[in-house]
Amino acid sequence: MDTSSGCHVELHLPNRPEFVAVARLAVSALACRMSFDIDAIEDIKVAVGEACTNAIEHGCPAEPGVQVIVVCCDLKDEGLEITVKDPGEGFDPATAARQHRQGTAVLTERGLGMLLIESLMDEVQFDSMPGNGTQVRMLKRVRVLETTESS
Amino acid sequence: MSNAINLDVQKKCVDAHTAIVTLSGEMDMYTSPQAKEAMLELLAQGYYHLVVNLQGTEYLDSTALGVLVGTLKRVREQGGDLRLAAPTPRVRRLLEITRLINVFPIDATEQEATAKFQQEGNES
Repeated sequence: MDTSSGCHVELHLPNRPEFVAVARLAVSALACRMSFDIDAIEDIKVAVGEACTNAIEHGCPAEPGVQVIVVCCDLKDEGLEITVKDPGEGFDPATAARQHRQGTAVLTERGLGMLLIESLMDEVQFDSMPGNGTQVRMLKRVRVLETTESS
Repeated sequence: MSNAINLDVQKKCVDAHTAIVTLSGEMDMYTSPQAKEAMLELLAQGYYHLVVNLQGTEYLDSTALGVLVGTLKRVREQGGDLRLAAPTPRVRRLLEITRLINVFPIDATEQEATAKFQQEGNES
């Protein structure tokens, strides 16, 4: 049994690029305390990195280091739930989703972050209202390994 | 906070048009500008055949992929190309998810990638 289940951890980080590594390393350290395999931990690292990068790029671009992004981690029996919040201008999730579904049909330098988050995590929910910030909630489920008992 | 500890960028010129960029460490929003600057410098010097060695790239995100795509576009505009060498299984997976695996030529080793460029040069 995972004794960390039920714990809530919050990181408040300056909106500066060098702190993205801090977020992903802290969250991956939490994931290591759960029953994730190495591949799942790497998936979580990338997803958290992408969510924080989006928060810094689009959520609070005006004053680097002044505004704060919040990374909340809830360690649950079913898995690790991570929410990344920014205080920025928000966006229309439907438009962004449409853009990223178009993917690399047109060779693009941007817009790959959301595609990675949705591909690497089990559940993803974007909540954003223009003028009211953005919140990305992601869940990575712990896989239960099937064991064969010998008789 | 120095970004040197997170990403090491090495450049090596092979011939008049071919160069190798070796990226070791973590390539993200903070460190990717280092790699971009190195590749733009090579382009400015006329190196349009670039091999990017990813053997030591432990972490790579969408910003890094964006830098590679941007550089690929620029070298192709000049008649060149950008080949990725020795991506780790982890990096390869991200290339598959983003479908960039179909965009970049990928080789198992740096030597294989440079040999392909030299072969193309001899054929043209």
